[in-house]
Amino acid sequence: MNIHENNELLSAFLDQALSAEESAAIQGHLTACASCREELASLGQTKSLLQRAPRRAAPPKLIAAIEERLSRPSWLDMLRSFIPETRILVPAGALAAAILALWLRSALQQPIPLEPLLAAHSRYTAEALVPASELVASNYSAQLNACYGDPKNQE
Amino acid sequence: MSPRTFRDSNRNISGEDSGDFSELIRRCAEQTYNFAYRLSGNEQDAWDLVQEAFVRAWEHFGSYDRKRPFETWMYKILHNIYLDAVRRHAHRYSVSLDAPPPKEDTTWDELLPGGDPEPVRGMLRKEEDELVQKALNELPPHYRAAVALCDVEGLSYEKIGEIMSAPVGTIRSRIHQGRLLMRKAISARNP
Repeated sequence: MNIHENNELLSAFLDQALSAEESAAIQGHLTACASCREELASLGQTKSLLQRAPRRAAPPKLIAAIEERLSRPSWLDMLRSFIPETRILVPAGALAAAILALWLRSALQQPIPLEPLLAAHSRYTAEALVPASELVASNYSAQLNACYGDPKNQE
Repeated sequence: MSPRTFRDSNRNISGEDSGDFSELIRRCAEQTYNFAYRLSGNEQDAWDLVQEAFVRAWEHFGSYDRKRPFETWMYKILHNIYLDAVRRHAHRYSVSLDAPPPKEDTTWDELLPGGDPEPVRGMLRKEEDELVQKALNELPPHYRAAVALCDVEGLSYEKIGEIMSAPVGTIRSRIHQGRLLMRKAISARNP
């Protein structure tokens, strides 16, 4: 145990916060080391200055002020007073959720018209295979309209 | 006098707890205030810290382990509030102990012509107290709290570790470094 490298031990010794073996080792060192004795005395003076500092008495109205603050409703309590009781809120929420679920179910059950979609898909695939210049020159759009139908009429 | 009923923002708290808590406020207000004063360095901040600490303690009273000392729990809550405030505002609390000390060329005999030694001792104690508080105010928050809990409140390293949520080795280091800083601050003010 090297006290000169770890002089926190002196403070701990002062506070009687060391084990019996550590305290004995420090005690032994102190008998031989004047600088550590001086340091210990100086730390002791600082500690004693703090211990002597008078205790601050709480202001007489402090306890009443704390109790008054604890009795006053908090903003959370005030907010709660505006919201209906749980016994009303929970069934209302469940009813709203049930209505939403029914509506979603009926909306999803309506059939999606597939034919116009497939025709548009085939038309765009065929158009992509023809160079743009030939598409105009050969009036290819008219031929496609004849084959797949006019997209304006499909919507 | 029947105990007041406090608001039941914590649903785990029964009406009976209001009475218990009221007793605890009376038992711990002095200690809590002294610690708050040593941490903050002025009366207004100490008042605010203590109020906030008791409000928070009441809000969490349902989770308080009744087998453990209430004082330690209060110190811990107060210390956390203090650290939050320090972090949030990122400034040191100002010192309100601003009563001017006697001028250097004025003797105590001139100030107290009656020659009664008691008032002189009282004034010296006040001066010493101001010196200690000003030196404490110069310490970084962790050192200040460790030194105040050890030397002013007289707590063990283990309890201080519990309050500051730190291992005993860290507390030992903070107390020692805190004392060295205190000594330096005192020497600078009172060479």
